[in-house]
Amino acid sequence: MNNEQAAQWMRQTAKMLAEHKDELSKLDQAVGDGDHGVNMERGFRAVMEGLDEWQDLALSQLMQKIGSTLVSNVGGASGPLYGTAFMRLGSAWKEVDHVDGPAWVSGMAKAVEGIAQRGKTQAGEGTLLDVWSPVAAMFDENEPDWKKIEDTAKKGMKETENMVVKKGRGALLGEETVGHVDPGAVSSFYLFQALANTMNEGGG
Amino acid sequence: MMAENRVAILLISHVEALAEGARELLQQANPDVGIYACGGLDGGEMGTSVDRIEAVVNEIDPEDAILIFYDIGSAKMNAEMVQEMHEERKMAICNAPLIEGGTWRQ
Repeated sequence: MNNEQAAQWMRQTAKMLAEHKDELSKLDQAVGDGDHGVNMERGFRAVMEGLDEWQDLALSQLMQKIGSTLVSNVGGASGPLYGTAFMRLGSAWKEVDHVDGPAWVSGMAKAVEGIAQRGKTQAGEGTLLDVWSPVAAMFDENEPDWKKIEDTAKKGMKETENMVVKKGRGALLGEETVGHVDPGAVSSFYLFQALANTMNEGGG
Repeated sequence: MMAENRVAILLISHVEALAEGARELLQQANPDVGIYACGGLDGGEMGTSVDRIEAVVNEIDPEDAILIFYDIGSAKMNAEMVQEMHEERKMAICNAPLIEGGTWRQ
């Protein structure tokens, strides 16, 4: 992934999140504050507004900018979680101008570690980490298999439906959260679907 | 109370009016305590922002310890980010109700 593909990834993500804004908020009404769609749309709209200005930055700086913009503009818990993930990608990619297999492995491992620290959570607790963690595990030293990555993200998202939420407002509902897909897992699926689409179009 | 033990209270809410209203109530109950409010996002939207919380923290006397009270969990996460960015400050995030917790007296 080069800078232009990273920018395209963000554009696709922003578009998908805007299209699914109501769906995400509706999912969040069942287990949270009901504002996930609105929050994510606002955060990625702010990223869109910054993209032109950031086009000459190094890839790692671009990731840092995306991260800090999400932290400042999302407004809910997803802000620090997604923000931390992108900032960690930025710090992992300091020496690279093109993200290849090994860089994906190290970047995604750091992003997952960041989300877990920030949210004080681990996989299996019905959060966006249940998408990020298995997706990170799908990367190896070779060129990524984007179809597999998208399928893994989808599977991770669907599995949150069967989980008892242990974090956030959903934790107050306990067993009642079983049967509901986690909204953060759904937005993360869109993020990785947008990544797969972008990389397939760009030929890797 | 000795100056070196001064404490300021910072109230963080997703809603600006809620943070301001809580500040007003608690200021009346504790006229000698510095009580600060941070609510909502720029433009009045609902949410909490690291930038806005940080701006309020910067208004507080650097010598003061800060007790932070928040409304719901995502405000806590943003408060924790500010806390990590300012390790030089004495700052504690209180897992207590916003109003009842904020009536703490010096």
